[in-house]
Amino acid sequence: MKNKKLVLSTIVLLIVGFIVAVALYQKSVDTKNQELLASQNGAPFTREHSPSFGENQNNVIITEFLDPECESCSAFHPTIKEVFNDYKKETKLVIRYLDNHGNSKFAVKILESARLQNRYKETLEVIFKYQPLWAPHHNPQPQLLWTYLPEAGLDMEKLRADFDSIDVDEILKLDRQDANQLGIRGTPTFFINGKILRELSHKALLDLVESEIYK
Amino acid sequence: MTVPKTISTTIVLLCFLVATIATLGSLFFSEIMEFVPCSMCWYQRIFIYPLVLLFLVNLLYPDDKLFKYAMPLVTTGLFFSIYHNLLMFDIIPESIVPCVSGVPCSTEYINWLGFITIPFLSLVAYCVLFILLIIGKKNEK
Repeated sequence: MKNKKLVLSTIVLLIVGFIVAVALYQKSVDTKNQELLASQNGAPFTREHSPSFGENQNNVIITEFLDPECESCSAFHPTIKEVFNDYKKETKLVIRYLDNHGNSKFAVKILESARLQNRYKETLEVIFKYQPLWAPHHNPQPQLLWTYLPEAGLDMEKLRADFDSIDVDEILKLDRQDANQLGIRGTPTFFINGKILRELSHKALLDLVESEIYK
Repeated sequence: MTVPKTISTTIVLLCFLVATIATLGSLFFSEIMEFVPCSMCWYQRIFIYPLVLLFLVNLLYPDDKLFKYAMPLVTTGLFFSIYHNLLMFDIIPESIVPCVSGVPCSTEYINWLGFITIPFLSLVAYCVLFILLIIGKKNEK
């Protein structure tokens, strides 16, 4: 084997260069997003129409881009719930939508109708809990949701009436527009005070939230 | 008996650097900056990625066959790259190209100084590799 030292040092140099470039880029994105958050009264991270929870005593805004039909959103839901429940006094959780699947809009309409009855969180639980049943990839059956929704303690008659009359197109459009501005396509995507969560894990989320609360 | 001629280490190292920087750069654009690669970009990636390993192995175990192995990849990639740049500069109309990934191949993600786009960077990389290999072949020792 020849040129061992040459090859090794070249590779190390290239990898270090790459890692530094990634770190610099990510830092510049965070900085840009934080400036954006400060300059536009919360937009594009929060909007008037978006469901939000928490008392926000420490002024920490957690933005979640969510799709009710997305499996990863469902899988990560217990984690965000746990972290948010620990810090609901300190933070504000804002839900934004990205309707990436065929029946996402259907589920969003149900969620927004349930919100009128103050049953948003409970309904989201039910939607995620039965997601494998109403949203299998080969044969999605969104109508099945109606049979599970009473579990959320909803007035079903009112829900159906609101579902028929509610218009979520504008919300979905604005949410998608904001997602595009932030350069994100996938769900769930989290921003904590404008800083994007780069790893979907309990520890990463908790670390980022706590670093914003106790800074 | 003649001793087999090989391309000089310096040239191979330069080739390795160009191919690796192109590879890491394309991964940076797609994985870190999250630009969706169009189909043309994929074809150019296909032909640059293996070059990294070809040049690497040749640095460690120099032989006289590098030109034969590397040149077909470089020329094929170069053709895709020329074609893609003709698209970007509106010399060929977009409609001829099948774009399956949903991103038009004439999408401009970056534009530095008015002409440096991602396909342009790819063209530069392929041209440099092409020239380096020709020079290397001519000066084989």
